[in-house]
Amino acid sequence: MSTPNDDAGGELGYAEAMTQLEGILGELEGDHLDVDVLAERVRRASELIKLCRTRISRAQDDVNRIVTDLEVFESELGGVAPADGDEDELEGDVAAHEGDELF
Amino acid sequence: MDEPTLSVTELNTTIRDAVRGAIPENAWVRGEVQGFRESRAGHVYFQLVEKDERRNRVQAALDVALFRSHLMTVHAALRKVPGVELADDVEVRVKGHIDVYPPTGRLQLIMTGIDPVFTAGALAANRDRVLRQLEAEGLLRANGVHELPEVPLRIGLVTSAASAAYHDFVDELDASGFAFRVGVCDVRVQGANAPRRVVWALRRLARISSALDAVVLVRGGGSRADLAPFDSDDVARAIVAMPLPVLTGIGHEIDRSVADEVAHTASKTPTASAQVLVERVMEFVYRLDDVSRGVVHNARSNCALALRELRDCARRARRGPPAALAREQAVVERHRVRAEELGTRTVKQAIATLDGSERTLSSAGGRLVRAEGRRLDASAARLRALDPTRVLERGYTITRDRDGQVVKRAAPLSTGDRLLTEFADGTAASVVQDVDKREP
Repeated sequence: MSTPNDDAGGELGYAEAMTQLEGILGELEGDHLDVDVLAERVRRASELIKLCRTRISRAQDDVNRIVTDLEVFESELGGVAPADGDEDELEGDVAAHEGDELF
Repeated sequence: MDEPTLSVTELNTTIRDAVRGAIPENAWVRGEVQGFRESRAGHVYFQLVEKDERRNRVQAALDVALFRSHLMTVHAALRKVPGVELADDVEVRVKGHIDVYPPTGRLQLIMTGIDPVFTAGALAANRDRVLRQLEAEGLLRANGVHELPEVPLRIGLVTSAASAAYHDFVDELDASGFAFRVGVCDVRVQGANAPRRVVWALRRLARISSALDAVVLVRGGGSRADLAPFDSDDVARAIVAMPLPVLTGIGHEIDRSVADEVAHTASKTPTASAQVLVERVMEFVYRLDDVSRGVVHNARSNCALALRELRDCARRARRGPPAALAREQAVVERHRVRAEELGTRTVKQAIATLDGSERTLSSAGGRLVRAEGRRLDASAARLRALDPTRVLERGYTITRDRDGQVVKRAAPLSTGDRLLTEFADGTAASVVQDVDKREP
């Protein structure tokens, strides 16, 4: 699941969610709210809190390691430009380091 | 064949004697170590090379032999300057005598000593030169302008994927319970080509920067020479050019590398680098928790206030003329029902949110959150201790009169009253035969 920090992907970002939540809290702390408005604000706050927590926490039954192939990130962007020649050459060099002493 | 003809041995021996006569017994030579290897017999062999600085190509090379008999002396000298070692890619100044080995005709330096201060100085001088240049160009804090997102869960990692540094970093994120995702750019971060590899990895991650929240560059501890790639100008400039925050976790005890200086956040170990990310997420979770509690608290207060105002309204209506009273009472009643319904639902919803949040929080945040979980467990245990059924289990009973009211005192009882006593496992009916009332 993508966990954006902004709205670029169309999903609500964490910063925006927090801004909305703090806005709601400010309203609740302020002057007396109409009960209908209060219910709506609490419903929205519930949604936002749930949304953030679900995204941040790894599902308990998720046995997958957190490491993901870079290609997965690349595919999420709809593919990225291929490496230039120099980097292709280096990619071979990088792959060939297997067996070297590693730290 | 009038000219004298030498055998190969004679020629090699003549060369050896000429070289021995021409070069002092203890000559100092400087150069970069390449092809370092140890023989089974405990001798060390390598080449000392001089490179064209601009193109990084070898211009001259000299074979060096360090026999076991001198190895102890060299190691003792190296120990005097922590972090300096004899290894590939290290700039060294070594002492020895030149010899020619007649059986092969090979000319080599028989090494007898080393100047570790030279190596330390060369590394430091290079580091200072790169830092001065970056500062002059105003690039030292260029990566720091990128803000680390409030919830940095999508990480691009540059390191050797089989290294302890990799495992330390990933394990720390894994233990947090947060939904981190790490894309690894697996490169060897040691040796002559390490700067080039690291630059390549950073550029690859830069191309997918919009799918990442931060890039982390980690490596385990090593000698100063091992960490030299992180002092390179190329690596520093690649970090500076990254469009997102770069965190470093390069194991070192003494100096910060140039990479550390230009990075967004530098930590001393890969684990510490992971902790920076975990704590950043944790801060957001705590803020979320505070807002959640605030919403519940204020929702309760607002509902209570609304109900109070309605009751006041009802009281005022009762004091009005009968016709208005009926109308207003009907309105107030409608509002009261609606307010109670909404208020109850609102508060329940808010409390459910908070409860759900705490449950979710308990599953995340690993170590930090487990502490929170223990605190909640302790609260639950205290609540359980107050549960009336638990009290009954400890031998206490609850006695009620025929109206179901709890009998707390003997004073209202009279002979013949029927009572029902509740035990942990059932009830018993009884009739009062006598009442002995004590003064309170």
